[in-house]
Amino acid sequence: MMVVTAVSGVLLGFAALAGLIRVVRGPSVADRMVALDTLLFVGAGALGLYIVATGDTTYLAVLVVAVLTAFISTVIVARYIEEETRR
Amino acid sequence: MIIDIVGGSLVVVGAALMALGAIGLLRFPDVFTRMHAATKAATVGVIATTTAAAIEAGAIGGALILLVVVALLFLSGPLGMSLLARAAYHDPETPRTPSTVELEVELPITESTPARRLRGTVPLLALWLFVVWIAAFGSLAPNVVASGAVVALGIAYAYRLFAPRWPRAILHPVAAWQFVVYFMGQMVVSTWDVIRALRLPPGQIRPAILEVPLRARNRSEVTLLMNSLSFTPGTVALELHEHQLYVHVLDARDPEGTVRDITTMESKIIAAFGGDSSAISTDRRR
Repeated sequence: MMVVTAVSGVLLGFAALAGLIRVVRGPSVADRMVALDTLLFVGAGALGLYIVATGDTTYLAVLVVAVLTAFISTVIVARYIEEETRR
Repeated sequence: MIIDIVGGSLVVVGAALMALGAIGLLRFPDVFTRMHAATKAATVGVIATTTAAAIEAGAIGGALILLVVVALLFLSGPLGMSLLARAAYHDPETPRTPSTVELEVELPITESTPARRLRGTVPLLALWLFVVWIAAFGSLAPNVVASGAVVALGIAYAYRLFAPRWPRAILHPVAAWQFVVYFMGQMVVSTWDVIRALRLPPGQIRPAILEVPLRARNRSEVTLLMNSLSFTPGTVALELHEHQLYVHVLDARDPEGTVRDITTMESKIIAAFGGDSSAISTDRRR
């Protein structure tokens, strides 16, 4: 189990780092949104890892919230880009 | 012990998929190609890790949370991606990699399916809301079940009152199951294709925007098709204009093959909603 936790942790950490780099570098708003979505999903993955590693299932429902938040933020940013284009 | 092994491997697979997607996020040349890699891989990764967490939780609590997360991912993930992709597609300031080709697809016979009147979904919606309610409480106590039933039926009925254009559909079990199996297969195949595309140097990726004429006319059919396409790695539904579907394809070395995949999926969806499944049916001409 230690190995699983370590390997997954490193992989997730790498994914989060890559996402952060893309958020900083952009270049467009849509690029940043895609990267932020990935970051949120990596967060959800880390939560799953925590649950499996510790057996503590208190935060299981937070996964649902994370998934929903990703959707809502994506839609808002998409609308924002469309409004900017129309102007 | 076995639970630990299954859960552990699922977590590792999920984390590995996210890491692979993140490589695409860094390497791919424009926002559309990055969408294919990052978000899709991350979606499958979240499903894997959630499954692991649900196994850990066990019993109905875990299973229901898993069901809700997967359903939310399937309903909302592709929709959000399609919206973002469409916005970026119309936005002149969003850079698009110069190697992107635009192809207008001609299909031999594009007979549209007749717009059918389909039966009500209120019971389905109510059932779904009920499941979410039980999942949220994680118990089957009588008061939870009773209040869930009241709330679910109430919302489903109110939705129908205020949104009369809510798509109505009843699925044909066998054809729907065939679609689900095909869809899962496509998920595996195209995830693998995206992973292979990660190795290509950025200049060698051949993204394309395909303009595909649709046969499906029913609102539910088109919605399910666009959702499925956006959920599958390698394709994102960009825009729908006068029954022409614009799809962004990550690697269009074989455009005919991609179009065949899209039309096959369309046929299976039409069949699942009770239409004629053969892609070149001429005997139904009216």
